[in-house]
Amino acid sequence: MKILGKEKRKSKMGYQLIFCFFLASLLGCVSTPEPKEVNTKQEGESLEVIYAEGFEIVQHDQFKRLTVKQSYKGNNQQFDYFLTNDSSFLPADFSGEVIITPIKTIAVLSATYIPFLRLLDQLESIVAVSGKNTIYDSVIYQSALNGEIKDLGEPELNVEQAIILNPDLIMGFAIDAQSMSQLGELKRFNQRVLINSEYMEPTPLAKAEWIKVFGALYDQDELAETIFQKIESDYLVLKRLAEKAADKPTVFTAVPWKGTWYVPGGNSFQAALLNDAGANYIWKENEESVSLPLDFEVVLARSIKSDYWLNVSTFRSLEEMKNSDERFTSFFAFKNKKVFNNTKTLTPYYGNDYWETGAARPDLILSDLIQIFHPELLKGKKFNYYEQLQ
Amino acid sequence: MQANHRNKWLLLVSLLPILMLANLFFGSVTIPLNEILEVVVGNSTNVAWKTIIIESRVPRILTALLCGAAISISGFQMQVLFRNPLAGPYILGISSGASLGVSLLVLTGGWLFGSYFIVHNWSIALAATFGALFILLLVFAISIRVKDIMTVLIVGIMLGALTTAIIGVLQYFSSSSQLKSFVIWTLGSLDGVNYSEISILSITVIIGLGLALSQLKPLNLLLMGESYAKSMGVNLVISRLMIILSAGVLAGSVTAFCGPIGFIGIVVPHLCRVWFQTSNARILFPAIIFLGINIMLLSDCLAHLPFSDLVLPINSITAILGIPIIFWMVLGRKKISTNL
Repeated sequence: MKILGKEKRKSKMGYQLIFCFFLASLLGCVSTPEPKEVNTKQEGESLEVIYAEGFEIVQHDQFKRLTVKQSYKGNNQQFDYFLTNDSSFLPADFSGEVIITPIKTIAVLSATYIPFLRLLDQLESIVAVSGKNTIYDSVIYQSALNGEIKDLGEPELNVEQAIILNPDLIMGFAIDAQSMSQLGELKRFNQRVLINSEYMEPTPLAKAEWIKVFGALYDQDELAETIFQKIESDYLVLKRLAEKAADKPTVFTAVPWKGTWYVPGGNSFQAALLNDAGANYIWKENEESVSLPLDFEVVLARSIKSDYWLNVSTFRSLEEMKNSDERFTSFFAFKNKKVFNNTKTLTPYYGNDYWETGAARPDLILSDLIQIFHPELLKGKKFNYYEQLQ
Repeated sequence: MQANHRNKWLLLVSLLPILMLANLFFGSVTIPLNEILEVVVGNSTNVAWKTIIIESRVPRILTALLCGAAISISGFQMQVLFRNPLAGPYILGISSGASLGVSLLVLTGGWLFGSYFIVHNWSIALAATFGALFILLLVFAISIRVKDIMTVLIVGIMLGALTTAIIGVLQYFSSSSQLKSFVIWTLGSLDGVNYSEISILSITVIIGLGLALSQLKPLNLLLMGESYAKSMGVNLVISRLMIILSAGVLAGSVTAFCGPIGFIGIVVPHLCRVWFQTSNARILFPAIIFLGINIMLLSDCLAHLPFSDLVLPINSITAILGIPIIFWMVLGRKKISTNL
């Protein structure tokens, strides 16, 4: 695995070299490729990353080099971070952000980072959040409510507040060029910003593997590795258990809005979970990783006889669903009361632990899904996030 | 001239059943013709197809009928009342009022009304109705006090700008999923209107059209100028209020259930005026109703892109469909606002 990674990089560099020379000859001037990238890349050992595609960590003698390979869809710009206890250890020719580890304070611009910190027992390092109403974790929410933890605000970042707080690290994400430039604004004021693209990972275990990035930031690499291995093995045990099931019930998800039904694509995170839970997702053949905007008719024709209906927005009873759209009652899953929603942990202000902890703990979601589709396999267990609508 | 008109009427009226059948037959899901007939007679055994036809396609056709007629007539009344070719059903801020109501509901995440309301289908319609009514009553009150009709128009546009500004602030602070819900609403849709809503919509549309019918004579006289109309015995204040009320009920009730349906309300009256070469409201009234319905049906048929899984927003279709027609007419006949 590790060797393969190096080989890949070498061949990639080869291509870059060829491309550079091609470019140079094209422009009629001679330029030598910059050597500094080579220096910092040659030594050091890659940390094992099995599932995630969005980051890479290389361990050198006195520092770690963290590379985030993507930020948002369509942007393949890489971000290099040098993690070290003492910046004097860094090579003279490095390029990238320097983060002094272990970090003591952090501003998290997404609620999904909180469970990773909880797993590493670093919750108290959080000094700021973004949009307190999206937070499920009651301790953090309370602290944000009484002002002990600052709210840097949504949708526009409160840059001044961030500068005053001056945390060791601000961790955020970008969904497009606009949100990227907001984070860039922080860098202008010498804030250390780390791009976290965990949300782009296509599989549940790849998302969970981002705990290794958190581990590196807190100098807790081994703990992160141990936690991940536990989650991974729990997940795989459950997955194998689901494979034993005799039948694969059919399932479809989501609800339409004004005639358009946004269905998760066949290569999405949701589809992967349903598949691993031993269900037959109606759109599993599809190759998109994003949601598909489908006509009501199309979904109805395809899933009217499906066994299960999951993730129905914020509906908490069949009555509510019926009131919203009478056509819902035509679905067999509705008639047979096989409608399940991930709203058990929904707060009155629409925070939901399913979305918060779900990324870090896919094993908990998988356990719920297997209980739904194959209750005989997990007897006596309780739902973590799901509830059956009555 | 007369024979010419007969052909036009024949075309308008015969297109209606053809387009209705097209909407029944074509959709994202292809259902064989004999199966559709089975459903219509009540012999079908395929639940999915039965549900699609009875619960989805037929209500959509009925909604298109009501919506096409209401929006076009409402636009026609506003154009004549303000003697302005740019006027449409939403010129008095009815759609901005409805949008304000819906944005308060959708974008604040039920915070204002409690979470129960946000998921209920009626909640959007109610929010839109209250929003539209609020703006309409304001315009009403102003038009009683202010004699000059142009002042009423300007005040209507100002109110629209004000609500747009408030919606802007709400949008700024809402999450991306709330924003998406709201934007989809503003793009209009004939989907998801159920039979009980259709029955309410048909009552309001019939009331609105009845009111409009009673004001055809004043409308014709208003074309000659307000003072002329007054000298012919038209009570300007009453007529003006009745026309505003009728247009408001028509546009407001459609917006409540389908979202703001754009373009048709402005274009259809012009098309009919140019096509029939008259500004006589007695001829235009039925022509506008039929043409409005036909264009609405055609747009909805295209919005559901036969043979594809996707749906397009209806407002985009009405504009893409209508603007080439307008260009063609303008280039052929030079001027479309002469008769106003």
